Amino acid sequence: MKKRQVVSLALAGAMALSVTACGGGQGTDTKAPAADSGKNEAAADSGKSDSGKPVPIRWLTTGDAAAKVIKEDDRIVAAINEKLGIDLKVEIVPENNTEKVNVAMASGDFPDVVTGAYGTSATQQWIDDGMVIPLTPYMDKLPNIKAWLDDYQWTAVNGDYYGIPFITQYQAANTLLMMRKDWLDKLGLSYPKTLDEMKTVLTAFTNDDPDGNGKNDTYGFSSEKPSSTNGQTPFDWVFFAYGLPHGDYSLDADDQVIPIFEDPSFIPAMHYIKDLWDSGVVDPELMLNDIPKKEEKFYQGKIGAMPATVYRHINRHENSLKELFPDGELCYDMPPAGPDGALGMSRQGKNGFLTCVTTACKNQDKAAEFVDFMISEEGNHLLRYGIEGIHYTKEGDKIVYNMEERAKDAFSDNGWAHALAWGSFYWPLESGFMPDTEVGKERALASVEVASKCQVPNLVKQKTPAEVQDGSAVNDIFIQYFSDMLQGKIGIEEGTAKLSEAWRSQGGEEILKEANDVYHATK
Amino acid sequence: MKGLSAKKKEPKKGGQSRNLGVYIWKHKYLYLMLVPAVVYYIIFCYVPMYGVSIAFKDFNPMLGIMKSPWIGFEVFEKLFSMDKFYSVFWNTIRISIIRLIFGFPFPIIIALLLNELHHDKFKRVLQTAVYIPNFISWVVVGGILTSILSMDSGIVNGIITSLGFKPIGFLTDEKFFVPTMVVSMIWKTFGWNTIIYLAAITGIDSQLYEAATVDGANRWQKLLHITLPCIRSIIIVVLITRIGSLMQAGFEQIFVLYHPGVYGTADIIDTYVYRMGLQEGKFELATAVGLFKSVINFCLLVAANKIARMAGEEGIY
Amino acid sequence: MAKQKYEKQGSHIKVSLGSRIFDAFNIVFLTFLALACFYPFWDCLVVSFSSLKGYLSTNIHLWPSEWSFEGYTYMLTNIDLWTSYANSIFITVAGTAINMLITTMAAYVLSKKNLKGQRFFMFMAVFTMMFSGGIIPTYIVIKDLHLINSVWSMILPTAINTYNLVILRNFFMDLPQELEEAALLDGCTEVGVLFKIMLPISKPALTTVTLFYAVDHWNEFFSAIMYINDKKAWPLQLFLRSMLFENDAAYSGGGESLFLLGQPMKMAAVMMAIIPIMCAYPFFQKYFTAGMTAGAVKG
Repeated sequence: MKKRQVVSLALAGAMALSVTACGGGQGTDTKAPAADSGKNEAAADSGKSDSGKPVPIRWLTTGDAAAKVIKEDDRIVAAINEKLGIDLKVEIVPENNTEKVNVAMASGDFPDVVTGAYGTSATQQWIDDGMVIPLTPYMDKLPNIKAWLDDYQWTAVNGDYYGIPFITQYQAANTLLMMRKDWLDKLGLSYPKTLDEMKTVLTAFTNDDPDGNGKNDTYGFSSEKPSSTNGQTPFDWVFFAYGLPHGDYSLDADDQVIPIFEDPSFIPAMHYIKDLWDSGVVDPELMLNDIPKKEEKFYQGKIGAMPATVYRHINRHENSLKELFPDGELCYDMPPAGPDGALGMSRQGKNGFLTCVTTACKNQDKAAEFVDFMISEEGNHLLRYGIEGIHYTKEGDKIVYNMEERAKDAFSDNGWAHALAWGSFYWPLESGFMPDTEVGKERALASVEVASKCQVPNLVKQKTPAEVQDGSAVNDIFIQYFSDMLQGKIGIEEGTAKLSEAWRSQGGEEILKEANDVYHATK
Repeated sequence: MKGLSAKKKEPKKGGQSRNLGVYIWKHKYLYLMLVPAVVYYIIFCYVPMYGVSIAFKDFNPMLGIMKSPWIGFEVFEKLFSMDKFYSVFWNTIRISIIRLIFGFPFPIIIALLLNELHHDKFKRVLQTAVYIPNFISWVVVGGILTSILSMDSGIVNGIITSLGFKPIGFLTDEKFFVPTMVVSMIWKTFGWNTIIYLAAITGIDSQLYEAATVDGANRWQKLLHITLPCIRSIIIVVLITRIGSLMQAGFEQIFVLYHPGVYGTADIIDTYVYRMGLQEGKFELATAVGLFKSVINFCLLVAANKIARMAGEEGIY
Repeated sequence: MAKQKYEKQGSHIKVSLGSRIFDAFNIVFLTFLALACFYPFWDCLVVSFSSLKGYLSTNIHLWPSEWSFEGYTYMLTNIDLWTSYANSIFITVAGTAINMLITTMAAYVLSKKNLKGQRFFMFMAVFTMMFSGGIIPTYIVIKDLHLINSVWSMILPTAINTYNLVILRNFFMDLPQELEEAALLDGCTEVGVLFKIMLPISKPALTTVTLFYAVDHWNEFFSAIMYINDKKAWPLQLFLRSMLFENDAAYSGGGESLFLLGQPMKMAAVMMAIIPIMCAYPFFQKYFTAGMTAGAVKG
């Protein structure tokens, strides 16, 4: 009975194919008026156009979630079109949903230029399967691409560059340790410089009623839950203080690459963290917090210290804190140093975006030219400030915005850049940019400088293929053991040994081998 | 009331195509009404089904799904070789079964209790209130839950401590996490799930109740001998579909609320493979996991349906 | 409800003590449940009308301690919001109409237990509840049908929800057969029987399934992300999500989009998304709190 069902099912399936052909066709005929798919088609077809006619370029990018809508008559797009002789059509995926980009590419719905997530299986597959073209041949002709890629030589795959990478938090960082300055003042303490001072401060924040409300309702430190995908913990600053030398790996005595938890700094650091945890100065719900929740607790005066984003965020933190505590003040600085004076706050980034020209693109030269323009000084200027005489005027050296005109095109409020600028090639943070209109510009830029100083560089710049494949699986193991050791489910020495074993056997060994090869090859 | 009358039954004479043609012609309107649905299923469900082959292939978009080279069970071997796979597999089943045991009967009971209310307006107000949480996404409900259940400022622990007990880490303690998930899942969805039973109860012929009252049946007896039997078939249909989705243990809810501290009991297949980078273009892995879950669900559903039919029920097919 | 009316009449005659205790318990219990269920909605509503200060000042929100309409004014002045409302309404109405037409016809046919092939077709439908081709082949089908960027990509691929089909079929199976047979003998076609006889007596079931479909359409956003590139065709859910639900990048990074909205504004967006569909509920509700079958059978 069941067998027969399966057979008939298969038959139905075969029938299906023939039915679809006509069924589908009919469906489209009737629905075509509602769909404006016609435009798409035309754009894809007319790649053959000779010089003179603008070349259609379709760019699919995750861009930035909150980019303004680019209207048909956007003058920035028009300016780019005119300059390059192209007809640009930008598709920005909502919610930074890279999955959409991946699915479109995997389904053979190729745009001309595509921006995907660097350091993931998807972009690796684009390169491996020949879905995107090497940009290496264009390096002679297109100086901006050359200049850019020269900075990112390690992104080459077998000697070829397949896209323009943008690694977030690679050249600049924006995380520092933030504290309630008014609490410190009240308790007669100063911003901690060492781990011991840090413990004193956190203990005082917890037990000495820093808010003066007579209740024992504060904690010293909170943060957000550890990330299983990138292996970051809320206590990375302790590891660095105890001397962990790199953001991603460490080296053993024989100069071989080892995971960070096999570094001698790990066990003493874990003991320090566990000690903080056990003495109750850490928010017990730290594991539950996401970033907004963590910040909320800080604004509510429940915690006195947290790792926090600086740069533009300082204003936001300050204003939010003053909602409930008009006298509240915050301060931020590098994290405390360890016994040997080492310190570090954040790890250097390894992930980001990769913008490629697809193999299916009909006019790859133009597409490459477009990419080149987007990362050029000129392109950058156009996207940030607009067209002189329209979006801004110059008074000597000073640029004066015309806010009214900017609002007509897809520029963001408060002097921030055009929607095209967002996300794919640079963030303002990495290039030290901030419009003059922003309040506290100097302070914000200074904070990035400090944050970048205590960012710990990686030993191996790139994610190796094994790391792309299994990195999240082994990071997940690390976070699991970290969490178990923190909560006392397993002893620190025992846990570390078991972690090593599990981590190495579940793909870590391969990752280390590749990282080791890269390290020794580039040294 | 049940069972189709015999007169519509056609005499079965082997599989001769002429007879079949006559039969179909006789019922042409019925078959015609089925056509849109069949076309839909073929185009949007069966045509794409060749895609499951991705699980057995080294998928290369430049070649397309059909032409990508076969690699056999490599992806599955990789999946099953992960240490954690077994733990998340059992977590999935455990959480699902607990959800089924407590979450399935609850809406039925509430539907019956709502039906026992006499005051019509009051009933409608209550009904509206219980179904509301269904509209608020887990991301938002999750935020509210963490506030309510917070150790130091949450209202629930406030009550617990004022009674002289120690505060409970509903979301931080591994022992309490899964029960909290189950209770909050019921809380959010039961109202919505009562709708279907209420609709079924509404469809019951009131003459049956009148006759029973004349016979001197009390409320409990009416409930037991009229209401329940009349909604039995819908209960069974819902139960079968629930059993057939046992491998879905509530991804969205757990994803919003879980954390490394409770991975041991609360990490399910969906959350685990999500962390393994499902969203970053590992299509072979995604398809393999999907297929694995589908096969188990399918077996469970077929078994449940078979049992139901053996017990004289209609089942879902 | 006819049944209750009858009981009310009966209650004048005799109500046992046990029955009264049960009623009291029942009312208290259900009221408590209803309050518990109403709380999250109320919490969101209160937060949406609170200032940031009011929101931060407490964890339990029963009444705005400081009012603010910032979130609502911020969104209501955005023109794109109204476009997305119009899109969502169109998708919900047109989508649900198509759903109901196809599902009702199929469910009715498949409720004929003795129809040849019935079990096969039913199995064919149920099979798709378990197995699907996955996202890539589905995307290819949508692309080949030229539905990318069309609102129909949010309607046609979900033309039938098999669960709803199964439910509706089950309801049809439980309907009394006598009416139908009489009509067939009178020379009515099966199409006529379905639309003239069966549908009028199945209002509770039809309303239920309509509600299920409508809510699904209203809440849908994933297919919009996948298939719609043109912001003009975005449904409301996607518009509000993309506007408000920040991603990690926005929080940790130095991106341009660092205009992070506070919780009150997010809640205002949540409210704007759920209140319209919630308001539709009472219209549906009256059909499954009033008995239809009895009258129809008698008449």
